[in-house]
Amino acid sequence: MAIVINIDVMLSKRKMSSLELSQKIGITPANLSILKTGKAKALKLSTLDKLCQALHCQPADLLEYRDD
Amino acid sequence: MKVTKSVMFCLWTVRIFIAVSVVSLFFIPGIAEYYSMVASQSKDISLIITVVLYVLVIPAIATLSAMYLLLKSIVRNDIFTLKNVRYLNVITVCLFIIGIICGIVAFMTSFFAFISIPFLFMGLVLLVLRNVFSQAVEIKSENDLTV
Repeated sequence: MAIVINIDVMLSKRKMSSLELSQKIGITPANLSILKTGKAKALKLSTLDKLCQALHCQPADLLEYRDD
Repeated sequence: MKVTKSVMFCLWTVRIFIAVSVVSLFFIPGIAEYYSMVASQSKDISLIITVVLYVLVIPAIATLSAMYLLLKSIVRNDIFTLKNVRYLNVITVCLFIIGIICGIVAFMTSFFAFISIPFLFMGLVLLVLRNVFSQAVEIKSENDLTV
């Protein structure tokens, strides 16, 4: 997919582990892995909201469009 | 998800039908001979009925086995998967095969005339159901990958 979710980049910037993030936003590590690996077909606005809240960032910091 | 009584009833019924199909293998020549005697048909018709019934047992057992595996995956709560779409495909194809074979043989003996149409109709119903099911599998996979 052309939309890339840069969670890894934000996680390293905030020095936070994946497990910590999943616990903070209340999703399972398996679902977070789906997001990180780009397998996700859709992202709920509520999840994006929680991600931005936990990582202190804007949606644009997490989402990126790449021309295939 | 709780396994309902209906699923268990279906599972046991399919098991009984598989057993009946296997046991009926021994009675096929008798059934054919009885029909030719009652309908006052020739011995050749009896032979045709015997051969056709033996051929029809193969798709019948394949259908029942696919139904059994489908019900087993319902019990395991593993319903909307591509494997189950394939089982529905097998059932549909087998029902059409039975319907077509009976339809062809019906020209020689009316014994199969009334079997053909219901089987083709059931095959058609299953085909529609299979298409609905394959859409459901797609929706489920999309739902699973929505975070």
